[in-house]
Amino acid sequence: MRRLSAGLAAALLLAGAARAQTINYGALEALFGEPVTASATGKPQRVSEVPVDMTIITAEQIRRSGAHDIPTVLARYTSLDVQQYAATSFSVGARGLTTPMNQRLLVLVDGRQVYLDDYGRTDWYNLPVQLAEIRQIEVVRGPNSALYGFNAVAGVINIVTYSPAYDRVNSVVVRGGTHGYGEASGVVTAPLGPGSGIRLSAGLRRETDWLRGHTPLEGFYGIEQQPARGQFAANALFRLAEGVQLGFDASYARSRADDLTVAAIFGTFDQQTWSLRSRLIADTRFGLIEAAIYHNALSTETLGGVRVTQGVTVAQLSDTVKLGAAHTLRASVEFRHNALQNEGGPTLHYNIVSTGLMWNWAIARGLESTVALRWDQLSLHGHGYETPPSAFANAAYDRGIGVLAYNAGLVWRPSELDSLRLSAARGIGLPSLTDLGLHAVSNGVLVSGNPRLAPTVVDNYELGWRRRIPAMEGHVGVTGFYQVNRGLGSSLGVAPGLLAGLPVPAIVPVNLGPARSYGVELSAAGRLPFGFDWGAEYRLAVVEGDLAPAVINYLDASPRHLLSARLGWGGGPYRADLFLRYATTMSGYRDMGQRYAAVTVDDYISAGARLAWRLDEKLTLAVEGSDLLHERQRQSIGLPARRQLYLSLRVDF
Amino acid sequence: MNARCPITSRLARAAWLLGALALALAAGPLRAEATPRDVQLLARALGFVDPLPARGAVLAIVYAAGDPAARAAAERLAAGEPVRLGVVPLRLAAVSVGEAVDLARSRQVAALLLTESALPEAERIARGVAGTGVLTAATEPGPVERDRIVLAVRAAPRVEILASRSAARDAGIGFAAAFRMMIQER
Repeated sequence: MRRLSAGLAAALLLAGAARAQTINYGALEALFGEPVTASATGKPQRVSEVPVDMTIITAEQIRRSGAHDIPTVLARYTSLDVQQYAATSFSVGARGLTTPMNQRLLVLVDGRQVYLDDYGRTDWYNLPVQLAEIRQIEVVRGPNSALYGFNAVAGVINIVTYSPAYDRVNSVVVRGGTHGYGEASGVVTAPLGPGSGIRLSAGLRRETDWLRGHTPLEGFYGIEQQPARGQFAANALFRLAEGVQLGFDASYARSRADDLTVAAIFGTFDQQTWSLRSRLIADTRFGLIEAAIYHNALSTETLGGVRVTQGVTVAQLSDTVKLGAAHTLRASVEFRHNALQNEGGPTLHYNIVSTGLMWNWAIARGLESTVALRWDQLSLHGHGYETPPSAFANAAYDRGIGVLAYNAGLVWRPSELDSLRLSAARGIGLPSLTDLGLHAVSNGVLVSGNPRLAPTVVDNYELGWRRRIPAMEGHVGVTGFYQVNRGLGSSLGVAPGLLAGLPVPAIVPVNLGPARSYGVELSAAGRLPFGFDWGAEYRLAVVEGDLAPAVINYLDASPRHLLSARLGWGGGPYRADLFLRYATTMSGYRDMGQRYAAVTVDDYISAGARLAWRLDEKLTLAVEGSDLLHERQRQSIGLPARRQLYLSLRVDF
Repeated sequence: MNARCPITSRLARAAWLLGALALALAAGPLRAEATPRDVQLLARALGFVDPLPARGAVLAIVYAAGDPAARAAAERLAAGEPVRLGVVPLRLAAVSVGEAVDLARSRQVAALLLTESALPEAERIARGVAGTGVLTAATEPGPVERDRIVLAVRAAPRVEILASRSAARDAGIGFAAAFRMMIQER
């Protein structure tokens, strides 16, 4: 005892500088033995307890995927709709209705929107994040507008990076491949004292696009044969006081690549994005208080030299507090200013004021309910629309929209192994800035927004069950869903028509009508003897609707059946992973100039793989491949996918 | 906040019964003796406690004096795999109830993990740690439900942490907000 006391006295003299932390996801994950997320309700939760249909893809899975972009990671570990139209052109959605430039999936990086409000899309190629700096990708299927506001209707993807304060991530990846593929990226983290640190990341990539399969019209507008991009991001976190941290992040990305647009034509997007954000996080006696302000800017030039600039400034304040033993409340307010400038033309902007409340009630051990409500009030303004040809007068752009979104869920864990989830949600999809207020004349056709468009309202109901299976260190799960979409918007996916009073044909977005989606999602994963592990995700989505005819083809845009399966093996320094994906038929249109041609994609199976050799503690050499089964294969309404092989070297230091 | 309307109160009671019944059916007999994984879990949980343990602080495994088998079991646990709080190593020690109280009063220990043999002395230990900032823990929930012990931790088959707010208050312990939101409290 005496010896122990002496040692203790000496140890206590070294009283640590560390103190109670704000949310440290790495430490919480180590504590609970499973991924932790705040993307479901705003409250930190174990993934097994969230009241939504969520999949978390870990950093280890990302590394093993052999993918070099996020949509491919998603395709290999989930049953999300991942459409790849060209080497760098993707659209990602959930539960069907996934058209080019899908507007229905909200994507964020560390809670900051990277969804682009111009067309209401995500440019996956332009995202300023390196795969090596991602801690986890959180995938929520179904609406979550009560937490995130507009556009979280089909689902939400939150890409969570490592904390610059708590995680030391230092790596360089160099990758070369067939068809002129070259990539280099790096991540470096520097500690700045307890609870503080900074992380920098950058990446460069270029390749030759898939090329074959373009229409003559696309040739007329010009095709980018050598897509390329450069990205930079900085992320810093400083401990100001016990339990108080101040964060800054900044990013810049420039990309030039083809993308299949909602208008059924490939266009080259020369695009720059940048962002600045400041955050304050405080663990106080009044709860976890988070304040953030950020600005996202976009400058893009596309088809026929149409250039638009767009910027959104967002200010957020939330307080998440546990009251008593069983109740957690999260109150939030948000202000959003968004503006679109048509080069040399009119300007459209809106302000949104939002307020939300989430209530989580631990009713009993193993039984929790969550209810979240959010009201968004939008006021839209436009000017400069008088110049002919114009489909709408300025006055039409002065408009208000007020909507209520909700999420409600009940999670019951009847045993240590089982979890049952019942949920209902309403999500609101706002027409994009382009859909509301674009103004351009291209090739003798007026392309005009429609300020009278109504938001899309999505009601979603689902029932899920998940069971851990310790014997195979895995799980099985099933979710049934039924979803009603009202007022689906056409965006620019309509044929040119003649409008009264206009001297030229015009493309004007409209609301097309309602559509239903219902089906089931199955999930299973586990380990096998001799170092093997496996996983499978299946999704059935039946889509029906009564929609007005349009070029955008919601009803057949996604396969009815999707299956992703994987098998991995690890032994000593070697690692092998194989990924298969099966999808049934889907179809859409491509603009041929004088007409729209229907494109049907038959059932297909694709394969990807990675073989890795860990040379030592720091060096990993890997051979990776995608679309391995055929030299070329039609997998979407875009260009036929091309087999591709890569060799990569990763250095961790 | 503790005042509830009669309807929610009845609903809560019914749900508690339902949940308890299901857990009783599914979980089987409760296990009380600590395992090395429970010790690791407690060490990790200390990272969310205020005051945060100092570098080299002691996590004591507490046994009943005069019980050689309990002492041997506690010493086996203390001699087990080293535990860390983040990157900071913690020291493990096996101590008797009396030694535990002395250590707590002189604030030379960060946490006391009571083995099954020490649980009958939980009230004495609770008095001993009052206001010291020393965390008390056990692997069965009973003493926590009686507000004698601050935390009940269980690593398998699923990590479960139950905290007594009353016992934590008495011991001078606080928790990080995120941690509180992720555990069960009473």
